[in-house]
Amino acid sequence: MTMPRNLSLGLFFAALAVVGLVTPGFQLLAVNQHLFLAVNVLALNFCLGLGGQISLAQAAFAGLGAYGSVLLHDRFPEATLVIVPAVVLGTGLLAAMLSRPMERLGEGFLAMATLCVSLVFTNLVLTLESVTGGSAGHMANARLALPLLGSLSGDRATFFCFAGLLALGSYIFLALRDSRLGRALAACRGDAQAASSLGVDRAAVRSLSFGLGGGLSAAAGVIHGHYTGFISPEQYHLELSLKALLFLVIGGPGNLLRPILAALVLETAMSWLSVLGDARTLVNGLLLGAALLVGYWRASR
Amino acid sequence: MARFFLLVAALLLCPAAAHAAAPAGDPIVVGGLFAQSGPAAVVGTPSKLVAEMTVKQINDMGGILGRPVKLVSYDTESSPDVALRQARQLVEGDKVLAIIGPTSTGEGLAVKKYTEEKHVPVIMTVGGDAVVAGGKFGPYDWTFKAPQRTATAVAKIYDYLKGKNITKIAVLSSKDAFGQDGATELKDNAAKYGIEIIAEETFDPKGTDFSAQAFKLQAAKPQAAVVWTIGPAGAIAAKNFAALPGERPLLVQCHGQPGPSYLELAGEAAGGTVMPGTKLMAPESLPDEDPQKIVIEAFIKAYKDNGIQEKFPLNTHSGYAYDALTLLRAGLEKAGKADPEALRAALEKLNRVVGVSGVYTMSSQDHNGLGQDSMIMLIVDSNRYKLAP
Amino acid sequence: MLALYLAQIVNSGLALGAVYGVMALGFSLIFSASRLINFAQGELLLLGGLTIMSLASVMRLPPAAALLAAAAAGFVLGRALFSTTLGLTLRASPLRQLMLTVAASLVFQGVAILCWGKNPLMPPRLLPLPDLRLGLFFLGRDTVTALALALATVVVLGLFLGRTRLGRALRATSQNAVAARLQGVDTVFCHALSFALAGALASLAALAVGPQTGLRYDMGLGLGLKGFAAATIGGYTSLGRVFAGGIVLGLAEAAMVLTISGEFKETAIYILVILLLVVAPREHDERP
Repeated sequence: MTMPRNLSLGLFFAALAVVGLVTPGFQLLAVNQHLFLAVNVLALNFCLGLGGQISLAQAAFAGLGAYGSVLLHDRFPEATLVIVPAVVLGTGLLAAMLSRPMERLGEGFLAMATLCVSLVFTNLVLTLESVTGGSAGHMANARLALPLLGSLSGDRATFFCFAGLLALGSYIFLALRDSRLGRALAACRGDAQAASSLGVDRAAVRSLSFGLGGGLSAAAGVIHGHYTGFISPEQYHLELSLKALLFLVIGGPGNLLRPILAALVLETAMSWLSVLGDARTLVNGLLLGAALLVGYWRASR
Repeated sequence: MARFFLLVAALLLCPAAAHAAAPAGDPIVVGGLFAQSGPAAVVGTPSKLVAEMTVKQINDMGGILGRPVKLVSYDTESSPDVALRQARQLVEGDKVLAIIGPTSTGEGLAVKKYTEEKHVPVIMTVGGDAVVAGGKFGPYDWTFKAPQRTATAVAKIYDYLKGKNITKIAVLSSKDAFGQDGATELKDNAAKYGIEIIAEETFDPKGTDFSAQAFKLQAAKPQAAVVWTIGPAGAIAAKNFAALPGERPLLVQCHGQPGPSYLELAGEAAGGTVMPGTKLMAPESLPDEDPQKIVIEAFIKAYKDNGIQEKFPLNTHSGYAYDALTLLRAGLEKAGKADPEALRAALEKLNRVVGVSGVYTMSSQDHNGLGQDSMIMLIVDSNRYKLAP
Repeated sequence: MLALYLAQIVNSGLALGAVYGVMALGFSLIFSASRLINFAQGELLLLGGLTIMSLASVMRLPPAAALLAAAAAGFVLGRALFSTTLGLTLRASPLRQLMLTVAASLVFQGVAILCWGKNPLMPPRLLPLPDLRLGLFFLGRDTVTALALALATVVVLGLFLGRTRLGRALRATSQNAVAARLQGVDTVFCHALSFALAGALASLAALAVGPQTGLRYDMGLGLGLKGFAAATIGGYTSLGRVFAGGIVLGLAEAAMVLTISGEFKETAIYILVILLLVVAPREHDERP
């Protein structure tokens, strides 16, 4: 059972690396933007796929990563090595803390509460204009720089940052899934009350998966913010959360590769749809609906 | 069959009628970035149609520097990320000489960062000033902007209010880039005009009712209330102010509102509101000696003839893409060659280029080139825009 | 002065709350029957409103006919939404059903763009209710219309759910679909009915909301978010409480603007909703 899985995973990352090496720079930008989404899909997979908890807060975590890192780099341009881990860990911890009181909420209500987290983030960015630049956004002039590697900018370097993040996330995902903790999470997902009665500390294990997801989204946000060179609330808006959830559901929560592939393939397809002009929104909807239905029919057969 | 020959004959005669030499040689490739989906599509879609119409006009009249112009345009989906992606596609993939657009301020800032580094001249059609403001938004050597600055609209409003002996105002702005820009400029310039802002509120542009904000502002007893937003929210605010009991302040809208939508959505409440707008909104009021009159009349005719009027009734934003292309043509003709650096230098030195939104005179500091005289104060009277007395 | 402020809180609160309330009613109708949050509720309102607007432009619609036409159009739209989302995936995971309504909202927007364009459109006022001014209190006619519609809906639906056989079947489905099916209730029909009723409600609401804000392809999510919040405050289950949730939310917003400032209004509202969810009774908890 494990061989084919590792094989397909290896094939996927090999194919990804080939794409990254042969695609010209300006087209790699599109790949990178889709990878940013794919990392968020994977991040959500920690909460939903492992812990069985829906979250629409992924955009807020990615935004916290981007804003935190960019604003701190403005003050301390040389401190990448300190700032990035701090921002990622901080966001992860915040996510874990937020998840604790929300743990017992049922699906729809958890969706509502995490949706509110996203909206609170957006509105705080809008309101704290003197720090964040408000809705006009903020230019991200500083670059990520590591002691030996130098500055991490440009399309190719960013591509490998995202791909590396995706690989690292996948590794943690698989390791966690097959661990004792992962089985505890699976128990919570399957039957929350039975899990509690078996002695699983639900709030604790689930806040771990939530925190990992939050941290991963934040890391993606850090890379994305510095890469784009400009951050604004509309880039880390609820729409990003909804998209991540959509692709995860299309690929099936708990699967590792399929949701990531769904995000990469469908996003690419949808960016080509601009040739349709006014019919674009309609076809986007039909495409996503069809993907959802195909997944369902395939699973139910 | 006979009809077919007539058609062919008409097609053959057309260029002759324009009596200009047909353009020849390699086309000059110009990139277009327009938000055709997402929230900014209401402005972006007609901009694209106008840009296509204008490029056709330019080619019919002999092109630029004797060469035809080719417009390659993409949909930015109202998103900064997508706008940046498409800008790079235009520059690195399609090898364009210059870009016109994008539509929203956020898109503009994301694109600008890249085009400044790559030395690509961009003439933007965004409302916000940030793209040509410098300072924390970075240099703007290669970036130009066709629509009036927010500061220009603010100055126009303040001059009008001063003329009416109004010194105390209240400000209601939307919580988006456009509203934030307006509120900042209103505050920064108030003292210069001897105007005092005695109350200030914000609102969510997607909201359905702003009567609480309107009431609170009215309670401060300002002589005028200035509303700064784009889209249907402005009409809702007008209705909310109109429904308040007691003595109401003079309602001033910003330059983002003039157009038939505002009249339609606000209904009776629109009556008596004043706002700065481009001369496009009241062409009949222009004196014959106004250099813009002939340009505006021709633009309105072409706008109707091309069927754009049916889908997007003429409003204050309609001319921006036309102006951007007009500036581009003037710049290229001044430069004498299709070269980015020469074009940039020429654009900075443009002097009295007549467009739909105004007469442009640029400098190395001023990359917009429009002054207060490019705007007129409009008042809504019996469901029409008229020159405000 | 204080009285003026208090009166204005009521005036603005009702103007906001009436819209939130009718949106929330639509959410809770579907949620209580199908345990599904319908992301396309705002788009149902949009398409219903646009359909009626086009109908009114080709024929004269007296108020009664407008009500009937709106209800019918919305009923059909809601039923169509059901057959393309939940109806196709009855045994899928709730998440997949939820995401299908997100896809449906895009499709509805796409239809609105193709058929009615991207400009905001102003539907005519088809229900001739007057502005209401009582001393310090003032309700615009659109607010009066929304309130009247919502109250009528709560009463009519309340009677329908409580007194009729079909209504009881609907409630049984919402409480325990398996048991209801064992008792001979056609639960699929009940799900479909809840969608159709929510559609009819949205279309009727468009008669009030449309003339207030105009109709534009991208208005759905904005309306929906506050509707979610209102339905959550109201607890989703009882229609009266859900509508009251909308009014409370509207009043809270107006009070916040008038007493402190509108600056932190949205932030405070959404934090409040999170707190409510976390602190509130156990009915929000995960079901076994």
